[in-house]
Amino acid sequence: MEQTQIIEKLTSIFREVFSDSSIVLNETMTTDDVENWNSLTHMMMILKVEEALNVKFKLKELNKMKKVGDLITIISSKSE
Amino acid sequence: MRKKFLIKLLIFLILFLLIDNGIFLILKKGLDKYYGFGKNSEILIIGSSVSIAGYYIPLLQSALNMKVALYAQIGASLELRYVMLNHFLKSNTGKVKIVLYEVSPIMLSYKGLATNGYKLLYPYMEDSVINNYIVTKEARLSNYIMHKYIKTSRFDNHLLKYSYLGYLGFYSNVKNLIIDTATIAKLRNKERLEHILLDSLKIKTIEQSIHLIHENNAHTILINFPMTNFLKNSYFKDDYDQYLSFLQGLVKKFPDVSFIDLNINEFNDYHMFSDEVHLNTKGQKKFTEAICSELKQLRCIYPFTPTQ
Amino acid sequence: MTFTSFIFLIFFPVVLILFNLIPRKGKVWFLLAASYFFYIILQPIYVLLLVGVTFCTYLFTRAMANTESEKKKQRLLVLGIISIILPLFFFKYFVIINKSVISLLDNLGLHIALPEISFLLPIGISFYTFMAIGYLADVYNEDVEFESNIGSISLFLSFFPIILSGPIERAGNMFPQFKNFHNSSYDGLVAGAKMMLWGYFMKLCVANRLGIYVDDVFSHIQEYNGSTLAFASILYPFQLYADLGGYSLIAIGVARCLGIRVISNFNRPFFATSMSEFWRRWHISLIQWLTDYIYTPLSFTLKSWKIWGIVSALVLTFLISGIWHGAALTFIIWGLIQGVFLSIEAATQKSRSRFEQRKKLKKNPWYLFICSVCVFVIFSFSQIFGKSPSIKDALTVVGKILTEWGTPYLNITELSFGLIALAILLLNDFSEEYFASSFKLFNNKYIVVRYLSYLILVFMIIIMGEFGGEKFIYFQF
Repeated sequence: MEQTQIIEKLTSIFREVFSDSSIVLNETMTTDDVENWNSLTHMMMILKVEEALNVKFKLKELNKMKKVGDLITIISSKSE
Repeated sequence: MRKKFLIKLLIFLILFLLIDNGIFLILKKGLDKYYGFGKNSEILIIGSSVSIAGYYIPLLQSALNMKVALYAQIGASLELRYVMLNHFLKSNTGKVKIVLYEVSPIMLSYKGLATNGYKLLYPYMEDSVINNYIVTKEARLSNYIMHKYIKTSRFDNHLLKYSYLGYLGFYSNVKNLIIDTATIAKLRNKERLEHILLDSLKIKTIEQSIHLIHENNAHTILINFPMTNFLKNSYFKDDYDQYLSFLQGLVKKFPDVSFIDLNINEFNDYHMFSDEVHLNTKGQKKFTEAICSELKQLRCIYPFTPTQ
Repeated sequence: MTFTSFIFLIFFPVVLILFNLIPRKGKVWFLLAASYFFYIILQPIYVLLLVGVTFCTYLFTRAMANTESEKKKQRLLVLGIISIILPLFFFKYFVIINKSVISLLDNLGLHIALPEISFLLPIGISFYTFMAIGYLADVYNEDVEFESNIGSISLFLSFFPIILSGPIERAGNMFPQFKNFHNSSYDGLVAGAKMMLWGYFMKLCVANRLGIYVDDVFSHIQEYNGSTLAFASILYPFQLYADLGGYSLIAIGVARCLGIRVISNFNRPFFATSMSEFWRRWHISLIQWLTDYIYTPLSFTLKSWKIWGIVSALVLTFLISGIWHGAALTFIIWGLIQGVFLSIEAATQKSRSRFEQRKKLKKNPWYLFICSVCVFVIFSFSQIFGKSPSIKDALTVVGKILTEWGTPYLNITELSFGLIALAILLLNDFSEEYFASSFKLFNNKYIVVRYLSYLILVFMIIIMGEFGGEKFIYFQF
């Protein structure tokens, strides 16, 4: 899957899960940048990403996700 | 960095010491006013919070035309009262003519009195009598050192209140409450007061106090404070006669000791109490009026020569 | 020795001076010695337990670092966690389990004379146990490299500012700082001293003062009416905040003086407008630990249950939090209440967000105020269970609050100082929350204002502080 496709899908997931239609993703974005993005909603987002992008994350990978860029990198590595 | 930090620290410490001493002097002055130090009082009241609740000083002063000092502490034990007596008489040599010494069955038990009443004497630790007493009582050296060098720390919330009241000259009992007998009965079932224990140490302490008053050419009047019916007629019922005999014995034994008993039916009505032993606003007024009347009758006010 | 004991006022300056005189390479070992001295003064015998946990941590992390096999690492992680957590489990929960077993056997008609044992809880065990487990998990997850210097690991688990009541720190934050010790900087000393000063104010003037009233009321539940119990229930969260928040601030300040930056533990929690936000502002280090090491793995494992997976993970996490706080049913109920309300929030998050957006409520001060009050009420309600000695007492309190109204008992002499200090604390929090750049006292540009602020606060502590109670509420955790 190409990076632009990933970002497009992630953007719609982020907007839906975090109830904010104005979210524009960038690689350095973290939980501090999105109001409703917290540990509770994070797992909902992960679930949606797994369903929408047909990937399965490992717990270790989850721990390494500090920003959106990390999420994109991990998804990209799984898509190859 | 070090020099800058040390200079700032030094300035801070100097400011701290100056302010500490300043605040202490202000607070102590208020406390002196409250207790009646430095006003050449002729009547000295020694007792506990019961006395604080019971006596309305302005009324006493105006009715008797004499200056009155109230040197009382919450939960003051017999031992503490002796120390306070010594302290006051030493500071006001020759001025005091009459000492109203609070007596009650509570003073002869240990529950209901404070074991750490010495803490309330810290503002006066510069006085040798007080300092010697504190040294024997204070278990923690750290507390002693702290109070010695940080003078403001000698005042707890009670003493701050007294200092403030001293500046205002305020002695009114503001407790309009009436004792909740149901709650007290419940509490009493759990935390029973000790019965009256008249041991040799207590007798000795009381007699020492009387001697001290006598040595200072003053007359002792034992004031038997009122308490609720509940306490008097049930709790202390078994020992009360023995207690009264003891007090009457003191009057016989010492030539310049009198006894005023206000623990009588007229004063046992619970409407006059905010708890079992402390008078409320109404009780304070009635009690003070009664004391004035009794003292006048005793005729040891005019002149000062005590008579029975 | 605790932070409010006289001996600490001698211990800390001596440690600070010596720390700055000792060469850089020796600073870790010096602080380690000082930390163990600190602990030995408190509870000499239990220092052996601390040593034991430290060695376990070292050995298991070393073993994990030296193996390539994922399965073996997993086994080592599990074994390591079990061996580290066993002492905590034993000391904290053995007594209640023992009593329950005896009671159960009695109910079954089996009168077996099991010994009734009780012992003192090792101070700080919950905190250093969690820190050790966190480090173990971090090494397993490769978030942190194994630390070969046993001095650093020992110092991490015994560091005297944080061992008694936290904040619960992470190896990833502490080890780099231990490798990079410097002499105390002027800014560090000043910043640390300011934090300590405010921490002492919170602990001595707010927590200890309010505690006299609250403890008295909750010890005599039957004697006081519903209004008094309600008032005490309202004050208790503030007392807790000032106690643990104040203590944490002193700990952070002490560490800062030594050049170590420790995680913040409280962030003006009573301005939270939702329970989840509250738990991001209250006992931050504990919640982050629970989130990273309990909630995240749990919710990940249960993610196929979708929202129910999150709910289950939340409830279980707070159940564990409740158990961590105390070996009593009341703490479990407390934890469950938190879990349930957070779950309700999580489940309704979307609809609430839409509603707030539609009505433009997010910036409405009245709406935010009402939300804060609701959060406070929920938290106070849950704390009735945290404070009461038993479930029966807690339910009695709730029942009386709802039915027995009347004049509350107010000990004005004792309460006045506490309430004044509380008002100052909340005013300060309010100004920091909404006017952070405007009102500065400790950080004012004029030295006269700064010095006056320090002196006023010092004298407030001397006059209003209640020095009697040495036990912090979170002490026996």
